[in-house]
Amino acid sequence: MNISADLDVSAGTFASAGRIYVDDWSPDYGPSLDAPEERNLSEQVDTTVETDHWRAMPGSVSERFTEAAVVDGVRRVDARLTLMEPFETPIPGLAATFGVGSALWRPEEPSCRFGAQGAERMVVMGKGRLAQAEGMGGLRITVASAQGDQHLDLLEIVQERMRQAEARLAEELAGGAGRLVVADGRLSYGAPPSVVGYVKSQQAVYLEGLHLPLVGQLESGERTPVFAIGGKHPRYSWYLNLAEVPFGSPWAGVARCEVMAEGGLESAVEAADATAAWLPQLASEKHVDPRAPQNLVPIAALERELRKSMGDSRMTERMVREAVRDGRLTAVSDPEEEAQDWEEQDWPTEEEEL
Amino acid sequence: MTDSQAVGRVLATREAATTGRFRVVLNDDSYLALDDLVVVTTEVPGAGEVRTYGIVTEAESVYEGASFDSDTFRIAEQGILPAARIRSAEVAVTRVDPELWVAPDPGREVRRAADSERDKALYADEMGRPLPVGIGRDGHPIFADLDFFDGTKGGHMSISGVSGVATKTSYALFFLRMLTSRPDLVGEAAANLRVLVFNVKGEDLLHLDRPNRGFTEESAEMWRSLGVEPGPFPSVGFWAPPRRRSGDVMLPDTGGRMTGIEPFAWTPREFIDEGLLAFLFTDTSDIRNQVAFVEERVRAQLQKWALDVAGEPGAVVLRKPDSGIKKRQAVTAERGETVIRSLPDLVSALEGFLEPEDGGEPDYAWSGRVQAGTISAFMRRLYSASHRLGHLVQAGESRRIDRRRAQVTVVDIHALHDLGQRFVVGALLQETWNEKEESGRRLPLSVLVLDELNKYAPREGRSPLKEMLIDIAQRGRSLGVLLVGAQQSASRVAPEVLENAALRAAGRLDSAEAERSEYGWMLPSTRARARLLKPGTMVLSQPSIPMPLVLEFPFPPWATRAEEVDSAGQEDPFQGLPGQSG
Repeated sequence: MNISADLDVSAGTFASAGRIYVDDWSPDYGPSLDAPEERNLSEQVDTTVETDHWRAMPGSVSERFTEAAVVDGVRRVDARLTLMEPFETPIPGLAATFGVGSALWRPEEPSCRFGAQGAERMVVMGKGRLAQAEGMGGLRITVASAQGDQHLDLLEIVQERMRQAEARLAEELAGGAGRLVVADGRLSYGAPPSVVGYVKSQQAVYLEGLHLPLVGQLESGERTPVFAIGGKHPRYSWYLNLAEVPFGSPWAGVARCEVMAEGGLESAVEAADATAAWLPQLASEKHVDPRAPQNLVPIAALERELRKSMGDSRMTERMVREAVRDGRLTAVSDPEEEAQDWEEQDWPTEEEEL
Repeated sequence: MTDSQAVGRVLATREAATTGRFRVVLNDDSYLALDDLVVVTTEVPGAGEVRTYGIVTEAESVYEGASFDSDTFRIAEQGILPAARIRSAEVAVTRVDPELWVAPDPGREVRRAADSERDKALYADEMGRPLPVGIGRDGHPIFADLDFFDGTKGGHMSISGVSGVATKTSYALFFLRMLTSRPDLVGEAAANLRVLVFNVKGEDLLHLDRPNRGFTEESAEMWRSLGVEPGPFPSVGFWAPPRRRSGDVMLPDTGGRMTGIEPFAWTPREFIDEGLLAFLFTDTSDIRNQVAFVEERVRAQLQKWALDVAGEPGAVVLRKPDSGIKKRQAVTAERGETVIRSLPDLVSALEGFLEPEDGGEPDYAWSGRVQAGTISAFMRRLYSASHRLGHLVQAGESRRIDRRRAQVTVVDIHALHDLGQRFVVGALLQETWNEKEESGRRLPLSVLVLDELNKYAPREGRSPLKEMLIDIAQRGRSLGVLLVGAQQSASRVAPEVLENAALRAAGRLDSAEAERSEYGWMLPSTRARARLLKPGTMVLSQPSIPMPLVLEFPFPPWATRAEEVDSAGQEDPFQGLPGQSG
């Protein structure tokens, strides 16, 4: 499949253990890593934590909150790489870019602006191999390795790195006074307790029996009572309705939010009230966004903005090809020595960006 | 040494920057308005630094990040969509210095052009004799190269615009005031410069020598910024047709102003000698038939036959030339001869030759062999002319307009019938033209200001007056006869006259008119704006600047109506003005 003659770099040129090829497959190819949400059946749900009276509750914003921050990240595979080593099957790798950022909404003014954001490139190699890379479009380049040799294994590394950057940004934003921080997607383990995870599609349902119908009965701006999800990383969660969807199913306007349980029930209820009151105002409309109403307007705008900050994908792919050709993207012979502790790298703080 | 400031950067995302135009995305704290002048410095590989000068032709603002029209509400009203307000301006390139025509690099800093850079943008540095002709949007003077008006490299000016709001005449007069007040710039051409202005509407121009009571100190400052101390025209002669039936005393036929205005008329002798008969046949339909032929013949005959009458200055009798009498010898009228003291007298004398009362054949020496219908057509026109402008031809002392008496001569023709207006204009243009043609010299300059040019040199048809105007437009440049013509619609004026005008100005234009090819010298954006121009704002194009410029000119310090005359300030034009000190 690899048509790599014009990019063929002789093995003798570099002190490396193998050769990297850039695949001609579209980098977009491959399944999404936004894996279907699956409910771990070991997670016990307790619907009585907030109230014994299971009913729709109207949203309200406590005086504590003056601003909502949404945090999101987008990623893109720029090129697929193949490392050829003597006596080895081809080892997959990929070059990817992700961007993480925030949009801050002040309902009082009202105005919305972009907050801190940043983009980063990654080169991930499979089977524990590592690449060394420099100079691709001015962005920071992180190299990493995955133990597996499947494309998904590599993507997961990128996803994880992005999630960490998101979590770091969310935590930083949560430090701001009066700010409700909403991060797109389920919370990763270790997410800061003050951050609300916002789940757009409901593939896993945490309620059952008599508790279930209420979700479909919620009016716009209402939520279910907060319920607890047990397990290794206990969380508080609630469903809310964003908007009436004409001709939609009862669940068409529903989203789920969650916070880490370690923040305490009181602050979870406060966040639940605030999201039920605020998020419907940010809901998108069908003719504007195919993922309406759950894809919130600032999140959609933020994703567009982040894609812009990641640079043009065709330009990036060309940069990767040039880096391979010019020997700026090579395999490391001894991964153990060169491995970077990329946990330590810091992201621009909000103050720096603004 | 410039105090020009950065306003933004060259943008090349939506459309490429070219040698002709580019777009500037503006800094948050700056702005560019239409007509602002900017400069960009581009480093050209191998050629060094190139400065691109330009003028703002359009300004825009958008929300970046909005993809739907309804996003506007999400951004501005609901405030849920983050977006950046992006303001940009389109710039038309006026000059590249040095002349290496490259496009400015995207991302280069754009600065306002000020001081010497402003002069460069407007080519003022290359003008031999820059005459201020208005004030730009930045409050500084805009210049025109006099070489392109006084005939050195080009001549004439054409002003178009809707009557009433376009302030065509006001601009023409402002221009004249600049021309006559800046001998330092005009140079040798300023000496004995003479201006002939026709007042065609109301009595607007009959108060040029009197201060305007509505004139403010603010306007005075504008004048001073152009290097002229404001005031009425210092040297003006006013002439008006005589009142009909005013008896022995000739009085000017004006309403608002009686003093300081001279009545004018031609004697039959002058009428015949100068061949003014031609200007009684200025209707463009006349030339199509044989009437012109008869007219030419009669004109020639008159010159041969006319003899002065003893004791009656200006009057003539017609006598067959072979009678042994010298040309300038005064005679007494013989039996059967009519003393011609007026136009009606002349007409009835001609009647005797062309349409004898006894019904006999016309005298072929006068009529030529034309059909009877042609002769009646000729006579019909003569009758009508004699009725409408008979009072302009009177025997007696010469009352002809003396253009040497003042620098500016205003001839009031507004009360005359069209036929009379064309007659007076024709007679005076011919007089001016002949004088210059005889001298063969360009200096001193003779400037003619004529509004409603479409009446005198219409696009369609031919007439002696139109021919003369075309002649002036084409050859006047080298003979120092310069036409400042104004018209409501340039599309209705003979193209030969328009094409020869080096300076072209327009005030507010009718929308349909603005789209015509006669205004091809304007940019599309200027055309669109020409419909909205306020009184006192003009668009000016000149050969030395490849772009039309929008300029303002100051309120006139002279009165334009009787009510505006500041009678108290008759002696000191500035008396009573606020802030006026010695």
